[in-house]
Amino acid sequence: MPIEPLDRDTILDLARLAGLPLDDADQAARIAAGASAAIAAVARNIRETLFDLEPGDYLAALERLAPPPTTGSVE
Amino acid sequence: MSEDPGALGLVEVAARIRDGSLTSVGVTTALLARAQQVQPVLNCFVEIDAEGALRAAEAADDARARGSVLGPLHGVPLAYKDMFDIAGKPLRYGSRVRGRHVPARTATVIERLEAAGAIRIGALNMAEFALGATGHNAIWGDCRNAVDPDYMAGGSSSGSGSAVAARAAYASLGSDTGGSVRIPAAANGVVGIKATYGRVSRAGAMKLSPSIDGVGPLARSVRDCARMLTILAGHDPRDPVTSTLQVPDFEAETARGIEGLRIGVPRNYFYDVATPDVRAAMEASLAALEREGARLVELEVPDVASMSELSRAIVYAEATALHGAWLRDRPGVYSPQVRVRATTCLLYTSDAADE
Repeated sequence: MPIEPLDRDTILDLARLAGLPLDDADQAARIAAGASAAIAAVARNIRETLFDLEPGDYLAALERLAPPPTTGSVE
Repeated sequence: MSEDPGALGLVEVAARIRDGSLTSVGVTTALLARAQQVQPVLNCFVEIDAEGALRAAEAADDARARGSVLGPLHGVPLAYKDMFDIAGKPLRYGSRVRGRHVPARTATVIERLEAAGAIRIGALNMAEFALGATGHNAIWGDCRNAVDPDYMAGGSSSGSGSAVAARAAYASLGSDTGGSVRIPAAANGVVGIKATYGRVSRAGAMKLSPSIDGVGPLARSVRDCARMLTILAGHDPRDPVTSTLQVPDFEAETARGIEGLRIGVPRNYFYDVATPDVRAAMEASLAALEREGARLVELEVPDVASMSELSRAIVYAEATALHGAWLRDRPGVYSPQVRVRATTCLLYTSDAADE
């Protein structure tokens, strides 16, 4: 389910509820954009799994998950 | 008595829609009625999209009326195992884990079928995460055999075999890692093919074991299956293992018959645990092939048991990578049977696969 981005007014309301001195609308809009991006990034990390990778990216992801080799190089 | 379009095969119904003797709306309406009729008994669908299918059928008939170029499946209703991405549509993988997952992009195989003019009438039942060969599913309900509902449908593409055999779809898509197209095709008396690795793109299809996974069609005849495979096969940049070789016209090849074709018949391993009735059915099939002119060549496949074990190690090691985090963090999202099966995967390490 897509996450609704935060808007400027929500940030201003939250600031008021928290008793923070924020009344600059431009600053509130910037905070809203930054917070929305952070929330989306966290949500992606939680929800995305190896299932969601394209076949071409899958083997590379497995390589990254694998522990480093403990023995010498293959001859 | 009016004609039952469900009695026709895929190739035949495509020709009839093309020549105007049947409409896509008429055919789709008949198949939707059949799907609704068999669903309470067979449970082969997890979703029947009547509204979407009829909208697409109307568009197909309009396109024909306008004189548009028609694809080889123009206006033909199909159904797909519930593990192929369709942009914007939630899909389940036969599980409760993925119920809210909405893909951003459509699977290549679905794009190819749509480009050929196919219409989707619904999503088909399957084993949870394709981890099962019988067609049982504790979350979405067991899928039953279309020939005799007292019997199992086979899996993991259970709905794909059952719906096609029940004449609720002209063909379906399944996936096959260790038999998941071939088993339900055999159990329901239809045709299914797991093509050579790399023939068909897996982009946008659920993964089980990407080193072995294949996507394949199920249909009611070899010719119908061949048309599906000709559309599905071919290189796809989204799946780098797909072959760049030109795709033959498999349907045209079937017209040549099997006169003179050499067919290998392995006599070791596969018969070891076969019951007398299965042996008898196999012998009857071989006799039928011979009557049609094929040459049977008995042979012994070396190291089958070892290969089977090695294949299991690869599948389980790759399934561990896919399911490991969920099994550790949220084991309750799996049904008990599949949790046990998936947990077995954790016993296989990549070292075991290397050995």
